[in-house]
Amino acid sequence: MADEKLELGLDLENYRYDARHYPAQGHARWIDYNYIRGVDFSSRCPPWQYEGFDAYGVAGKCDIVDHLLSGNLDYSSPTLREVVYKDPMCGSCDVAGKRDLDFELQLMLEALRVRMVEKGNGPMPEHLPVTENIEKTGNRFGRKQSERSNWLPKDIKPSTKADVLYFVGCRASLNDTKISQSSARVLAAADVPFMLMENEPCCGHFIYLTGQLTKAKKIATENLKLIWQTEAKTVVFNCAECYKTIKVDYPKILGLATEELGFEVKHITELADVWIKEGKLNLANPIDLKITYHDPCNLGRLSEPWQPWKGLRKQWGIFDPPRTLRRGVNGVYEPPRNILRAIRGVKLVEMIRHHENAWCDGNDAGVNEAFPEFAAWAASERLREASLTGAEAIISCCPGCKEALLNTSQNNLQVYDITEVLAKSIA
Amino acid sequence: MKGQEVYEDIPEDACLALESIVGLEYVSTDPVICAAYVGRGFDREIVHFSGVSRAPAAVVLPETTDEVARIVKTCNRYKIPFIPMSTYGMAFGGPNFRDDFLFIDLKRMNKMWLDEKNMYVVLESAVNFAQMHGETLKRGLIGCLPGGGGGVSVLANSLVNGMGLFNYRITYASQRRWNGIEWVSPEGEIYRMGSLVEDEDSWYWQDGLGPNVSGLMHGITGWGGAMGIVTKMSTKLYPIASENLEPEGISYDSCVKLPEDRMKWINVAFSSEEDVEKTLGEMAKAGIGFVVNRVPGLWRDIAKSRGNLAYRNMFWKSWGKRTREEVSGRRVLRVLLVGRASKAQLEYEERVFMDIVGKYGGRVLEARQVDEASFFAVNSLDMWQPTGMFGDCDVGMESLRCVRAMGEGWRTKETEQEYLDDFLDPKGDTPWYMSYNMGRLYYSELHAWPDAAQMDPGDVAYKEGLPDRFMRWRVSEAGKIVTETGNQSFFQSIVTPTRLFSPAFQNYDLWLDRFKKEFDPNDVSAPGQPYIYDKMVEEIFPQAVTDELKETVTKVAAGPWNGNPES
Repeated sequence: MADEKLELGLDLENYRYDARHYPAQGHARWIDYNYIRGVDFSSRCPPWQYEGFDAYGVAGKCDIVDHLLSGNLDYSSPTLREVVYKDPMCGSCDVAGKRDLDFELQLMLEALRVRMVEKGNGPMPEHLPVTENIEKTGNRFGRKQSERSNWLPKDIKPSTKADVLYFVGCRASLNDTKISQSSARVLAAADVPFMLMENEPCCGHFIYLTGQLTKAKKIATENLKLIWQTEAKTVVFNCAECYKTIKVDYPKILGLATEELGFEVKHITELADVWIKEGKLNLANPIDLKITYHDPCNLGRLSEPWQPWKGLRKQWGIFDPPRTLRRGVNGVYEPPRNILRAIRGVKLVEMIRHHENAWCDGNDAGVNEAFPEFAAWAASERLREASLTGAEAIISCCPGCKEALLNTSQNNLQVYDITEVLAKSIA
Repeated sequence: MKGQEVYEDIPEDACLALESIVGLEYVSTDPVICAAYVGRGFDREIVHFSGVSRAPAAVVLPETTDEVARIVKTCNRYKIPFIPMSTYGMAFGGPNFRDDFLFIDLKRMNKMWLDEKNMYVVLESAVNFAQMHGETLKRGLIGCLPGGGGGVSVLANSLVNGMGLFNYRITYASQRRWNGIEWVSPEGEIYRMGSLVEDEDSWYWQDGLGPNVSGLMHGITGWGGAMGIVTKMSTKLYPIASENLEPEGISYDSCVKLPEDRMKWINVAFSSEEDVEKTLGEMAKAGIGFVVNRVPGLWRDIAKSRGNLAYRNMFWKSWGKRTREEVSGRRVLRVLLVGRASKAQLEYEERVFMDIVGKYGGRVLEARQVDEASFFAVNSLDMWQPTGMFGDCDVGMESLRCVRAMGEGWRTKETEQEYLDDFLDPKGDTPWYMSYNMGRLYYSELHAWPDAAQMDPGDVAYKEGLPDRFMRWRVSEAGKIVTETGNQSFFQSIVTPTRLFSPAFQNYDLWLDRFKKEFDPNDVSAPGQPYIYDKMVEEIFPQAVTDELKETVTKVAAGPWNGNPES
């Protein structure tokens, strides 16, 4: 009888216990039971609900991981690849696994993708063009990097040197420039000097989440060096994907703690919430709109700081040294809501699934590229839920989420990023 | 499995037939898809790691009763064994001992129809407890149903005869809560029972023309899927305080708010079990209470484990400090009073309850006036917190005399060094028990908590012989207490070998066999059930059956009634 040595990270072997002992088949299918209000909108797992077969849910994936680690399943199966990659990696099952239990389900799924790439059965072919774009051009769209700063309004002048670095991200730089422009206006209105990176690279979110660890490590190392060269004390993001990648995944990949990054990582809503309370932002313009808020997974349940841990699982499952868990309940949930409540005329109504129970719009982690029909279904489910609140608009805090919700057919709601609404309300 | 016919793998023709019934996308024979159906839930460490559990040869996901019936007919035509499953709360109802079966995953059957005026709800197989209450409580109605977890199928759990927190006033017995039932027989015929006999849209009543055959669904215990598939069931609803119960809090600390003028939790500590028993008796006579629970001491430490530290670390930090004297000298009764008719009813019940508590020296403890784990969550997963696994050695419906005897037996066992080396030390506590039918009946559970990793042959922490000792405690030692006290366990076929104990319980397996043979002549409906536990013990844990138990069963079988000298 021996204690088990464990290390949090991306080695699938460390999640053998989680795969074998996660107790309940159905537990991770449902949102927190106390929030369930009927059959509709009670599910927390998009692929499980869409596909039906248990293999697409986390309990089934635990069985699959157990079989893989025991050598009873072959990594080369095309079905296995589909099961592993038809998953937006939204972290919702991880919240369930930590509701009354100590399971690391999200890390297990991330490690599974890394293992799939190591075994030559990942990522999906549809992921390769985006990967190549990022590697060759520095952005996911394959656009010229010289276009990257075209979004900047002429009346806004970033500093060449400032404590705050605004990391714009591929989508807001090149596709949805309303978000970057609005974000810059918010920073300017708060009278916060900010700088931009001269040749801002892609954060590598897509590459990491598709399991391409070697490439992701290279990107993380290079990007951190670039950020450190700016000597920024705070890096601010409007993109939840970039925010979580640099706050959580870079340290995870490189063996650091978030607090060891050498700079503060902030989403713009965290700062704007404070600036509103401090009176730095004057929200003088009323916006007469009934709004519901869609929590981005990367800003909510996936954004808690990374803390490395190495130790033993002793008798009764006691961790030595004691471990704190990233439960997904301490993410950035309130700042966006505080901002919306602070805008005159805005009426905020919640969907059934909110905060850590929020339904993912299904577009992250390569799902949109490889399984567009599933991605569109997940987003339409979210819009159906939003519509039933009686809201006129759905707001999110991530260009990826906005894109997913906007691209969904039969949408009768207005879709905005929170920075757009905030910028409009500023005098 | 010994003595059981093993059929060929599912033929291609049969797969085509299944695809024509449900569509291509809802049938799979892929090993990756099938690997996800080896079984989780209660008792996974025993069922899965002992080698009982196998992946199915194919999985099918029907959406309607008609599809279920056609699938079952196809299985009969090709002699394909099938196992139905709704929400998968029990590893034991799932695949076992063989790898040639069809798994009928009922999760797409998740619709419900609520008749508010006539106070009943019709549920399909996969509607879970929280979903049902999500709809009914909005309308001031509550189901009187078993609660094995918020995510557990109401219908399936009723078929096992599970117990529920809300059954104190009304009845424990599942079949008394049912109205109409729609059942696909093992041969694929659709039976509509109760008032559905007269009108297929009438779900209001349990009885119909002719004899009531709903007992076929389980009797005192479930069939584990061996007797066809229940696809719809109508269950009664009862009025409760009319306000909706709104949720609040985060996932390790979520709850619903209770209407202050209608509901109140009261926790009371007594210094002896006798005082608790007397209090329960007087509460029953006075006709007060809505949920009545005798709460084991370690539940308090489970409930207090809130925060970002790992639960095990939090729990053991707290429980590890408790002394045997502290735990054994503090018997906690947790009672929910509900003024279903009025605020005055709540006030009246509280006054009466406090009088009784005062009479028996109870001390009122602090109680949060929210509900965390009754109306929606029924948070059975908390039970995994202390060690990663818990084993119900026995659960049953019984008299207070049985509860007392079981508690004494358990406390004796827990002082043995072998037990303390293997399992969490309950420190002199008494098993969890509840009062039902206003004190006519009691229900208790004997628990043993081994370390999940030590039960796992694939883990570095595996403790040689622990699964054997766990099974010996469950089957023979707890089984002996149960048999001697005349306890009628409703888990008889799920956590104890049916045939082993049957002689002490009027040889009821003969009765089961006759029905099974009559209704399932091809033996395709979850074959092995309801005797899978017998087979597992016989083949994998033979040492779990001690000579002492065999002697006890023989003695009790010889009478008088269940060995009870008072009867």
